[in-house]
Amino acid sequence: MARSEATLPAAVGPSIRLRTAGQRRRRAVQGYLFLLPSLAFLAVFTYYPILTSAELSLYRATATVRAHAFIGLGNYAAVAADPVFHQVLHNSAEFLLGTVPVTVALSLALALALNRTHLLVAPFRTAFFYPALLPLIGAAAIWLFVYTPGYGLMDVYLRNLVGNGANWLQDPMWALPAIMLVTVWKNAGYYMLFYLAGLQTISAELYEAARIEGAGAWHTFRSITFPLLGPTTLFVLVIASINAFQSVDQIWIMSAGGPDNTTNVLLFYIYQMAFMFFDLGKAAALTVFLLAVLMGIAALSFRLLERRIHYEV
Amino acid sequence: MITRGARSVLLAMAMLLIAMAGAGGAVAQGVVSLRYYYPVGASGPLNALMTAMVTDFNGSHAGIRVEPVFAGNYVETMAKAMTAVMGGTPPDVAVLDTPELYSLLDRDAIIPLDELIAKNGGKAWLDDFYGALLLNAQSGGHVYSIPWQRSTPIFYYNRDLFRKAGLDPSRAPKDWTELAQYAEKLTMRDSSGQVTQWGVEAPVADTSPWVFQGFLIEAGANFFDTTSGKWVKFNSPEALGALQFILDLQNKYKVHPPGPTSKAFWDQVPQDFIQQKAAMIYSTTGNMTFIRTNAKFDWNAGFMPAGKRYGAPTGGGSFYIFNKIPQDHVQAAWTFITWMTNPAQAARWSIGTGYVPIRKTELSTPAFATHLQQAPQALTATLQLRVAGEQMTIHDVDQIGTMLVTAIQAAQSGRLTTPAALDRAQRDATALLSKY
Repeated sequence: MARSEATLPAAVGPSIRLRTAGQRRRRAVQGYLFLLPSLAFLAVFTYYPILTSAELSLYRATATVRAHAFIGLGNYAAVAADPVFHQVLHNSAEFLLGTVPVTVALSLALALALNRTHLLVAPFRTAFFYPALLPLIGAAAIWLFVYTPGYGLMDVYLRNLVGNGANWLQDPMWALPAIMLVTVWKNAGYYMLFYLAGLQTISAELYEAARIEGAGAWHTFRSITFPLLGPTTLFVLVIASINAFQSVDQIWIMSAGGPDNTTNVLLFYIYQMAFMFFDLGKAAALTVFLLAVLMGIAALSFRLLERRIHYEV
Repeated sequence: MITRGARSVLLAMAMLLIAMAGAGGAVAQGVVSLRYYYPVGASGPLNALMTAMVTDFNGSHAGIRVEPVFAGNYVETMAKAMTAVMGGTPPDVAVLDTPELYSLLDRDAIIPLDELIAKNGGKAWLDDFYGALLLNAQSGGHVYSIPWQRSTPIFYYNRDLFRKAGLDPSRAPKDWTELAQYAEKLTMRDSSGQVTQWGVEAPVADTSPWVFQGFLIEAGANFFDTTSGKWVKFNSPEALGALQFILDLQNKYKVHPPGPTSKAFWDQVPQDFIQQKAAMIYSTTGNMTFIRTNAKFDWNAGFMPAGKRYGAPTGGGSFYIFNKIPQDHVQAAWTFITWMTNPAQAARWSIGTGYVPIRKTELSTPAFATHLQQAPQALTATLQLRVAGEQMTIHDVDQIGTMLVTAIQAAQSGRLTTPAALDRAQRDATALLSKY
């Protein structure tokens, strides 16, 4: 943005350079007018709620108590001392580390396998993309049945294959992995699209050169494909990480955070605190924390994205 | 092409239309418009029935217009009602989960109904409702809600499997000891030791500890403050005994699926019953229609087997009237509630949905008599109401319910011992309740 503004007058010549201060001001006002609609929406639906949450987090504000009382950082102290919050953080980290690398690797593998012209490529691409089309609520309800002990698909097949099954969603050890599996299944096909798009932008000449030089498949992937997909990988990593922190639908349908809070993740805990327990102050403090995490991810990604220029031709 | 003049005319017409629509709402002078929040499945038959009943009410009451707002499940409806209250625009009348009483009182959101009841037949009218359903409608000598879509956990058993196991199919096991014996005979394993049919399934903890409360009542545990909702007692010897009995069914007798019972299990239990993967189950009366429609075998419903006594909690939603609404809205809301709960309408609702009859005279309506011929098991729930106990109704009931749920699950998974789990729930709940 800054660059285009700086180069524009030079490129079109001095003839339309803004002569008077009045014209310049008018030009600036026009610019702000163009920004106004999105600014209004952001202000109403994003900035104002963020500020309200930040303010509310400083009050003892349960929906069931008439007057809110200022307690400074009391809610943050309560959150920090809350053993359930520690478990929630642990679960969220496990969810992040368990879903993001797997989803990204899987979607890259799918894209590489399907980035060719073959009769069966279109049906396969459709099949892998299909989960992304389902609403998450519906997908979770289907998987709920898949995981049913006794006659669910998962249990029936596992019993036939290894002679044993598990009570996936009721076992504290397996409940979170079971939900992570659904999340990976749901998102891999979607991220595959980004990788397929990324692969289209890599010049065929590079591969030709690699072939002439006698590079093997692995070497080609490591030295050409993966580095040039760098921006795509970064983008997918960021989106996947943010998605991991925003997961709530599948938790709500499949486990409601149980058993014994083993599948309770940050956003679900906020939902629980605000709309089931009506402790709005504590929920606001948790929201500010989540916001800080998401902004941290966003800030990190923007810094890394600035460097991607190195990869571009 | 539209000229500038034509565009102005169109714009003016549009504005006129909007103004007329606005005036239309205000024209109906003397008609009280009631905002009514209710929690049922949006597309299901319950919603169709509710809409039909509200339409009938509006058709027969010229001065009142009830505008039903489907508001999601109990949790979502409560969240919406509380948000509306906080925003200063409360609904006039709502069906909410009955144990939310103290949450609503703490917010000053609802009004006592004593005066309205006094003008409407007083004690005689109120006494026609089943006493068990009114237990958690009251606090401090005032009545705050009128029962509506009420339910109770009930014991379903597969009579064909009883016969196959040589058990008397005419009755359910009478107490916990007999339950364990029956369940052992009804648990089937294949040659490799895998269970093919469970003796019993009890979803004691799902998102709330509802069914577990039945076991607490049966064990004789006084587990909460029934007069002012300010304390709980989760770690009494009776409560420990109740949880230990569940764990024994799972781990000692091995007649109940092992591990924590959670939300998924709640949905799975009636499925397991109709698939004949479980011979005896605890589930809500609300599932009776589902079971009647889908079970391809001979089944019956009985009381939850007794511990020291018979017992079951009540559940489901009741009518509340909100505070800070105009007096004519209060009167209109009351007219609506008394119409909906009159024996004929109440029978229509309970037959159409499977919720328990709320009034004694409801049973003698011709419609209900016909219904009982087709579904004799529906009477069991009503009879069990006579031995029912009070559902936990305290301050911060949802959060404390969740604490008890996680404690039960921690004990079931072996992450904590039974006493340690219940001590944890007791400690956390006491800390939370200390502010009242």
